[in-house]
Amino acid sequence: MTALFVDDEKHCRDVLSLLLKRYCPNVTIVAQCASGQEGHTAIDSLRPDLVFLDIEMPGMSGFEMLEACRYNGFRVIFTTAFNEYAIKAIRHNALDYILKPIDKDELIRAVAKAEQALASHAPSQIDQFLGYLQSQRAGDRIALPTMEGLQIIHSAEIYYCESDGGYTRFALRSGQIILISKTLKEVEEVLESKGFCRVHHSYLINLRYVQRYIRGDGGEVVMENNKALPVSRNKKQEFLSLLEKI
Amino acid sequence: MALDAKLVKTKPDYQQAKQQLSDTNRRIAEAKLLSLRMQMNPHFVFNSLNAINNFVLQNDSEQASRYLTVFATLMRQILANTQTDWVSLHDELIALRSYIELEQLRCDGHFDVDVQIDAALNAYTVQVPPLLIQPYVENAIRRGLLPQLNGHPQLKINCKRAGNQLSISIADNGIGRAAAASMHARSMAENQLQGSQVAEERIALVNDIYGVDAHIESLDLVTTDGQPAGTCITFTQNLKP
Repeated sequence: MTALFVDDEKHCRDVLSLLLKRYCPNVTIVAQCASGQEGHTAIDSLRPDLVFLDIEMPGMSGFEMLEACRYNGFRVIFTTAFNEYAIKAIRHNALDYILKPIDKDELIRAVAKAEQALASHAPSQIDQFLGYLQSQRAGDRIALPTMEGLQIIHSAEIYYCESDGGYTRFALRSGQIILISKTLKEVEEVLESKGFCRVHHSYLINLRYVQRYIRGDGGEVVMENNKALPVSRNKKQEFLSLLEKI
Repeated sequence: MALDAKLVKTKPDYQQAKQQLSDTNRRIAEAKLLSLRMQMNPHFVFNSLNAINNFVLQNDSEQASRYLTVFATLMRQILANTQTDWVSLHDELIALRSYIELEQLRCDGHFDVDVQIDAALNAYTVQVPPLLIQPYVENAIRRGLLPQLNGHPQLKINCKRAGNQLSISIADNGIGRAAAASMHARSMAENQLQGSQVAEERIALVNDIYGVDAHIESLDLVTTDGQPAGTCITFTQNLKP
């Protein structure tokens, strides 16, 4: 298995190279890079099986380096001294990391896991990870395809979305209405993780702007702009339990 | 009658409440100060340990032992900081030198350091808030000197007395703040470099409690033809009696 590492601190590269030689004889080190810029150039030309990647580096972080790589058919093991935010992102995407100072048993475990994934041709997950980072960075912003092009809005600008056949009408807090050619179902897939609830087959509402709920068969929900929207009987329970969480 | 008696009683109550409030505010300020004093970039701590581990693995016991004791010196100072708001300039410089030495180890001696102290200052009696200026030294190294790939990157710390004031300047011949900011705007690493914000908060609290008129000034250094030539940060405070 060929491996390459990217770390701006020489002692980190030294420790890694020493431990790999001593405890992971299957690993051949093909390059040691001192920066993200060096890293992605070397990865694209050497196409290693495994990349050990530091996250915090001046100029170009490990994450930025991954984005810059044209080739991404390698396994990645992040090496980091401390970064809660990064570790959360790594775990979320089922990628692997080891903490510095590096413990040899941790290293042996991570290398064995990478070897296994490589042998079984499991997907490297890097594309998925980059997509995740991008969505995190974009925050809750979404792009609406309009007649003129794209309108970028923040999910907090939306009161609710209404289905209109194959189209969806967005009612914004500004009073503006935007009609896009996507079904409410498609819109729901994007917005349900951002505090929206489908209360009715025609309505997807932003829970943060619910003012009142009026009991009834399904009932009615009154939004901050005094607009009352129906709640379906079969959506009522789900809606009420979501409301309790806010 | 009853009303009069009540009015008379109100005044001391008010005074007492006012006193209590100011005591409480002071305690809150002290608690905040304590929590801020204890902060040290964890990234620095673990990378230093990794660098020491490197010597262990290379069987270089001399160097491993040397840096382990440097690390211990710094940790001892950080722990001591939780006990006190003031340390002598002498102890402060020992801690700063330890810190800088570990940073030099981390970057394989990429920069040099020069620490000067004015003969008019008695380092054993002059008091400073412990490691208050460390985040500025950290910024000078990590944002100024490490990205500096030309010439001889150098850190200069100069402690001076001007009248009744102590000033400590931290000068680097690094890439300058504008270039550093544009590098870090792109990078997600920036959340790691909040140290100077913590320091500013500490300065405000130290002034609230001790009234030493401490402050920080930043100056962009330029060459004669106007090119960026680094940064100079100066910490000033009234000398404590």
